[in-house]
Amino acid sequence: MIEPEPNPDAAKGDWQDYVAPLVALALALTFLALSYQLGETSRGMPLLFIYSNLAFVLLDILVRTDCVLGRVLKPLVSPGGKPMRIFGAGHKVGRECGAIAWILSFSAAILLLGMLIAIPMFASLYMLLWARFRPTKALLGAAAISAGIWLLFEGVLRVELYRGMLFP
Amino acid sequence: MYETVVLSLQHFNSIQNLAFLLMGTLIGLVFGTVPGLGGATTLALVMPLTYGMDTTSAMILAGGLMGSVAMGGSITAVLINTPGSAPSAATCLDGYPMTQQGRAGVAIGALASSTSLGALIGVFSLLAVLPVARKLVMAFGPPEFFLLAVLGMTAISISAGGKLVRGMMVGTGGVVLSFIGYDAVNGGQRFTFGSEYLSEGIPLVPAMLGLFAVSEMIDLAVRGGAVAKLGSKTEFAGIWEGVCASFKHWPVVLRSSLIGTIEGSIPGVGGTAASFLAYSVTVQADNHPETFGTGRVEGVIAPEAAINAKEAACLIPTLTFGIPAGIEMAVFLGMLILHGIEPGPMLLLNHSDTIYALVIALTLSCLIGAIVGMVCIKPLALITRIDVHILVPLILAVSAAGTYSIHQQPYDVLVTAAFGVFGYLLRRFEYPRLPLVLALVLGPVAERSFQQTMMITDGSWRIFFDHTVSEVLMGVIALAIVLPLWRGVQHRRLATKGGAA
Amino acid sequence: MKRLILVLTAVLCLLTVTTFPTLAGYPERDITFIIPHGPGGTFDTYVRAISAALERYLPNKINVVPTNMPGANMTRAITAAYRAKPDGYTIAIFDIPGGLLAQIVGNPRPSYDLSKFTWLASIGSDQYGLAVNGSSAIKSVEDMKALGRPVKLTTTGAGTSSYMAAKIATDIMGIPSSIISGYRGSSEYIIGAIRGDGDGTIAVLPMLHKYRKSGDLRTIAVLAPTSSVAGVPDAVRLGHPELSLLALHRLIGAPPGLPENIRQILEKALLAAMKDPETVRIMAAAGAEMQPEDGARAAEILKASFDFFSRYRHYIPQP
Repeated sequence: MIEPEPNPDAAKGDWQDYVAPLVALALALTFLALSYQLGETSRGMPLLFIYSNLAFVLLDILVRTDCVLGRVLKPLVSPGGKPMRIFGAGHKVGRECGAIAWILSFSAAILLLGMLIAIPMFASLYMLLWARFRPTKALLGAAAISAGIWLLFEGVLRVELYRGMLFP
Repeated sequence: MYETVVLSLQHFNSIQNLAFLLMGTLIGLVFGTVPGLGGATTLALVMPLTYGMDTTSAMILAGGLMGSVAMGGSITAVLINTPGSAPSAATCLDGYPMTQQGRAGVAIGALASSTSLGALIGVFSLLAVLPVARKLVMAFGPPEFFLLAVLGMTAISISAGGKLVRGMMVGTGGVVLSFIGYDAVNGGQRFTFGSEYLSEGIPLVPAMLGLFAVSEMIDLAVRGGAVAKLGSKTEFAGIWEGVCASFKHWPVVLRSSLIGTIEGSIPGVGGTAASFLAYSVTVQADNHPETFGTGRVEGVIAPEAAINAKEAACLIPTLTFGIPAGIEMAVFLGMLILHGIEPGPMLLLNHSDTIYALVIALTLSCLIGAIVGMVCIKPLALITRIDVHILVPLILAVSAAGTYSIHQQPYDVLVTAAFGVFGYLLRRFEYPRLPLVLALVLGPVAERSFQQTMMITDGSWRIFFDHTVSEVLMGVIALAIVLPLWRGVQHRRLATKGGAA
Repeated sequence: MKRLILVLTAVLCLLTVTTFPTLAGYPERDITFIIPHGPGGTFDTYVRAISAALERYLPNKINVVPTNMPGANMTRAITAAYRAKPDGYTIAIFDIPGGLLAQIVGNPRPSYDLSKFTWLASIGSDQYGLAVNGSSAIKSVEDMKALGRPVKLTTTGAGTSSYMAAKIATDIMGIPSSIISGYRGSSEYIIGAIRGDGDGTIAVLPMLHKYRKSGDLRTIAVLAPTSSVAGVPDAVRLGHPELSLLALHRLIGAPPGLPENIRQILEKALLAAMKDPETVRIMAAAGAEMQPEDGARAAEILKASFDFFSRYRHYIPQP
């Protein structure tokens, strides 16, 4: 196993380079802790993979540092891994967060209100607020999408689309 | 046997049966495009319609449907990164990048021809293998399943190109994620955080839809514009180029079809593994494995040939042991029962003409599906040119409804969304996605069959060296690991020489 | 405000309850028939056959919609049926002891109690048999005991009905056993037994009969009161009549608290549907026999099963 912890002073990139592997490290440690609550036979395989995952995560962190080991290992195991940037470098972080927020609120709306409400609501709001379509275009588009899905699933396939937690 | 084949061909003389074949094919194509719906669900939905039909017609309808469902799902995989079912997800890997480069025509052409070739090879191998089918099914047990899964996973390290550590990190992490849920060997739950829903594990189709379709929609919502680059108008010329590509890369077609045949004929590994294994073996055998995922036509040909070869081969365990090789076959067996045919080891003896009618329908439907797909490419390709802000709500809504319709399980929609965000973040931070997909598909197979192997042998590893099949598989795995390494060294040597000169 | 809404809803419910039945009578809309497994397979086919027939025997013309709810070892389907409104529009089929085992071990405690369901009918039971590979040197239970090592049986994951059957049967017969678990269904573990992954398997008799006819498997013990295979000992001859309690039962039930008049309508229609010639024909094709029984008998079966498996709770893995 690769032992040396990265030395933050030796970091060649700034903190942004480390965010992803550190999140992975936290996840791996969580699963490691959970594994030890399992029975002897049940945890065998998970432990094998969690420890190897930990090793690769640490290696990923190591090759991002500027220490001797990192510099030696980088061309061998991660020659194509460029330093990562969250901000700048042509990334529109605001828009990215926005798009993710749309997806998450759409699925939350499906769970709570059901598909028959969530789909037209999401489609029209998305086209109005995010795509900035004219109101007529947005509403027409949303109506077409919702009607098409309703026809396909409820009409043809006879699948009752989810009605939502609030309307059991 | 061959007389029976000819005899069953006569069923296709009647206008009525041909109409059923066409109907089945079209139903399959259309419903195949709905993400998540897949063959089993579509078949189950059509089943009540066949109640009044005579058995052969019903089989022809079912064969038409089963033969073309994958094609529908693969077309959307290529055009909008939205696989109709889990096996088609492998087609996304290179098919969608081709569309983005304006080469959708080439991809669809290659898809159509490799699908048809795969189906033909599948049927011929089915007919060739049937006399020895028992031996084939018996040759693969838990040790071999384990080795097959390992073979598929070796692609993780090779396809990662210059990002070996990141690939392995995602791969091992993915295997851990695949352990979530009911422990199929030892009983009990793992990593479910007390949730009853998670005890089923991470559902594969919603996860794939998230990783491919939803993550792409996030990207499109951020970027705006259209899927395909503007000014690329080569769809028609491209189709022919794509069709020829399958013939040009005939070793890929042949190898993938054989992989499909083997995976289809052994119950216990599952159909999704076939297309991914074919893809990963193609990556390993290639001289430039790192260029896969950027729109290589072989990356479309390989999974497609495997998918339809598998379809025919799925009948092997059904015919020899009356045992379904996958969920689709299980539904099909249910349909047989409704028509008063007892599925079991005697099925082929007692109802051979019906079965061969199904096989022929399967093959014809692949061909018809391929032609229909190619004819429709022009209107279909329009979808890659419309404003993404119409595409995004449309695909997200259809994916949500499709995901939900599989198990009527609303939380599946959450999984789709979560994997969509996860897939986007992986891409954004330049971690490869293929290892995660391979791990989710193959991880459970590997764990289960490894533990079973150990239970069979009381913990001895010798079984891997005792049988010819496992020895061959071990050899292939060794090759799969060594060959790319050796090739890498060669490349580097060449590169340094070139640099020095 | 909240109270007002509650009162209003209650009044509304009362109104619907009191007015509607007098208008048309039960049933007046589609009935959902929950199947705790995925589409395909014998279990699913049973229900689809019965649903189609049930529509013909209910007093009003409505649809019976078979709804697959696979997952979590049946927990999902049982919970959904348990929590559904007891209005006669949700019924479900369960295989016992499947969902019972979680309830017996009670850790984690499932959110349902099978004994509280309103039982409508029993489709029938399948008894188990012990079988070995067709070419095996083991010809009898005695041979198996004399192996000098634990016998290896293929089956599904720990804690499932088949796993329990294998454990309990070998335990009662005094055969030392080691279980190869993890197969994903009866078809897979039977293939495993034919392939020689283990020495044999314990599976339901209709399944074993198919592979006995083809010569792939040899049944060496029938775990039922009377043997259905010539020359093979039954539970009584083996000296362990309690082995016949090891059976797979298929019971149809409705949520707890179903009104008695609706229960009677459903029970009558279900019994008629199961005896319908079309259903019988389909079941025969599936290689299964039906022994239609009423709701009272179904409740007795559940009780007996609960008591029997409670004695072997130590075989259910604790999480």
